[in-house]
Amino acid sequence: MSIIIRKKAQVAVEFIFIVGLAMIVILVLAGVLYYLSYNYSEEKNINRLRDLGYSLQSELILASEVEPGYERTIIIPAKVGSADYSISQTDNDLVITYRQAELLFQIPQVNGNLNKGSNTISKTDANTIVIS
Amino acid sequence: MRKRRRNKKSQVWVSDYTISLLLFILAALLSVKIIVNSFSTNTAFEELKTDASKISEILLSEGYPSDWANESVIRPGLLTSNRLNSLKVESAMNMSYSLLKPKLQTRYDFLVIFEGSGNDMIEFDEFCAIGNPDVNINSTGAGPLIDCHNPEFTSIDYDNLVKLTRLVIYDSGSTSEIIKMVIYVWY
Repeated sequence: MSIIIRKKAQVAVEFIFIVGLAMIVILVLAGVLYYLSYNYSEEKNINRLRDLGYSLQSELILASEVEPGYERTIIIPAKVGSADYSISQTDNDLVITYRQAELLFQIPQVNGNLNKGSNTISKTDANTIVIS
Repeated sequence: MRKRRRNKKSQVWVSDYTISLLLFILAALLSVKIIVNSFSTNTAFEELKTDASKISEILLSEGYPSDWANESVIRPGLLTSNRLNSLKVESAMNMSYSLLKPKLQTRYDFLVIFEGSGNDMIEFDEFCAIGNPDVNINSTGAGPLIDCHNPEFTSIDYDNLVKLTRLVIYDSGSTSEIIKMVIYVWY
């Protein structure tokens, strides 16, 4: 009688041990996977924002190269993918800030600021680009 | 009797459970590897091609400002009046690679060379190429008499490499000729 009880107990301990090991393996792999996917998604966000910056830079360069009378309306999205970013300008730089990262894009001299939402880029004379 | 049962159990533990646990770990590792691989490799090659095309578009423009110098450049185009401007090419070849990379709107490594008839590399003053200085370009002579030979990509490690060739008009002396601008982009 006592032998049967001990046998059951040993099987249960082995089962728990195996399941425990499997759980540890799963948890470690899940942790690694989460870390990798988080890094990947952050890198993707940064790349998307970099593409946005290059697009805006190209728009402003195009505006400065064409003849006066040029006008174009662009829409800057509030979020890029899941990334909530901010956009600002200095004299010759467009700055996109996302968490700790600041992405700088050199732009021509412009009057006005690019903001999220609708922006109209117009060239009023040979040297003046206005953003409204 | 008791001893036999214990031995039997011990054998079961060693063989079945250990093998099943190893198989489980192997399957888990394989699935993680497959998932991780699916993150990056699918789009990277397409991005390489797009970036090579974008770099060629930027280089085959006048640039901004149109009379740019290394200090003022926003977009380093190499043309003036639709012809290759050797002064702009020399400036781009002389520019720091880390500064040039974002101006060409790419995050991948790149190298740009110019080839004339017979696929001979064209030298600009004392320079051979625009871009990554880690690529080995054999040359003979020095200064304005330098003679550059084709780049050797064995000096760098890369997974994928895209080569894009564009034609451009180049005024060499009193004659104009059509030469090749060859762009290599890799990661």
